[in-house]
Amino acid sequence: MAPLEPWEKVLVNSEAFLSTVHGKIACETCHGGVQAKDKETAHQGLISRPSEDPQAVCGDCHPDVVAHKETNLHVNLAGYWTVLDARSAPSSHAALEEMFGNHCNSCHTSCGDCHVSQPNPVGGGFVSGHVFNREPSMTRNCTACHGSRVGNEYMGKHEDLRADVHFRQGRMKCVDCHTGEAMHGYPQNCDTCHTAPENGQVPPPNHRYDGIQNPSCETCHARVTTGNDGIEMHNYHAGDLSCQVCHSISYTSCDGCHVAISETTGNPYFSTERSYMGFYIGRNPRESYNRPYRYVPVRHVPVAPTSFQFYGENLLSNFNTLPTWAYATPHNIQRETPQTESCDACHNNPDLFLTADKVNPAEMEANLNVIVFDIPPEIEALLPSYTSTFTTTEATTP
Amino acid sequence: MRKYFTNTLLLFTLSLAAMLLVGCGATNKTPTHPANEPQISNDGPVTISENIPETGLIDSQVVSDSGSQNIDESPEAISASEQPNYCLDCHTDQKSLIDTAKPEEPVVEESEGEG
Repeated sequence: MAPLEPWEKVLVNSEAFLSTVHGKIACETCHGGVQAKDKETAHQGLISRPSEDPQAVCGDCHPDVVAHKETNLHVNLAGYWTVLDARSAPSSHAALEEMFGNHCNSCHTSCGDCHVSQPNPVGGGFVSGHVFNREPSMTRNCTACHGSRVGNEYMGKHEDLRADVHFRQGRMKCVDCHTGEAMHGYPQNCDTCHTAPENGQVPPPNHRYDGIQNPSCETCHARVTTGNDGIEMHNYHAGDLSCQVCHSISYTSCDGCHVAISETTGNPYFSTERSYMGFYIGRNPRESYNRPYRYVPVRHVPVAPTSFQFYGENLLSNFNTLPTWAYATPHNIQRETPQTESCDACHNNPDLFLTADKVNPAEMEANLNVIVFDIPPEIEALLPSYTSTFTTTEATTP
Repeated sequence: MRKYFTNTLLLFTLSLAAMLLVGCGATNKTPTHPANEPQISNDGPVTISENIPETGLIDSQVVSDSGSQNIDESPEAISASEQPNYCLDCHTDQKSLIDTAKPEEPVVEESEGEG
């Protein structure tokens, strides 16, 4: 994404913007400042990102959305806190909070970061001349932040790897699966949506893989779950493999991220030791009612025991509490992959699995519940009469 | 019996018609002239006042026909439209923005690797 010129970031498209509902609101109502010809005077008290206080500027008209901001992972960044908290001791939290403010908090997202401007970490600037877009732009909002992994996988930017079929053939945008309801957070009371005698309290998600799967492949591909789509393997493996085990291809993993404050500029920076492509099937580290699979693709996350040592020694004292090979949902779905060629593509093929020899010895303990120690045997050993070539009737998914 | 019923019905209908005629007659009394209406005198020359009273009805019909009833005439809207909007004057003018932009210092990228 090319950076915008400074003037380009704040140029209002008057013709388009003023004809919209938001264009009827006086500028100062949201942005403060004063009416004056002189820029310095006009910008006194200016609020450049008014939706940082969503209740004040968005809440009157969009109370249903703003009400859930506390549960919105883009707003509260709870996923980061969940893993930091698990890997650290309370005595480290003050130092980690300082680190978080310098390096992680810029990922916090306001209403405007999705609906008006490009996110701040990528330079900001209006997407459509200050017109409020109901749907965020896929490339200028979503993958502006989620680019190095999700964006590159989805749009096929890795050499020799095809784009996700939903993009390549369906031309689907992020919001086609990641709906506004899911992005804005969930109501905490079940009966906000389901009027029933029950008054269940649903705790807000503390991570993107916490709670129900939303989106879920089965929402559109319902016939797969009913076992009548004519594809035999969906009957054999629908319960124990996540969809991505068979239908995703090689994706990015990263190692050894470290953060610090620059001695020369005073700015925060990071460095990652290595990023690489690969496909690894591991045991499901997040096995639950909502994710019951035995095997899932796993991606190496770049955390290391010394990632935050700039802020103190041994801050991640409980490093081994969580695996460094994490549950993954690569966004490069294909109908046909190397795994779908035959049973033996996976069975008795250690290359596809996260075996112990692929794990950094220093991280072995952290990944004990992910590493596949016993590779699924060849299919003939399980079913002697079975041929290793898939038999399928006419495939008619979804 | 049937003849008796028919006669009763006829009598009732006639009575009802008579009552209606009496009622209508009551509304056809000589109108009383309001003070501002032209006074017509049989005794001398007719004098007609030219002062046509203004009624709200006429005005509202004109407004309605012109479709201007949709105009927001609230004090806030009127004052907003009358006041200059210096924010928009500048932020819709590319040249103004270029002329008044603060020079941006080149950012030294110190991070390395995938973010």
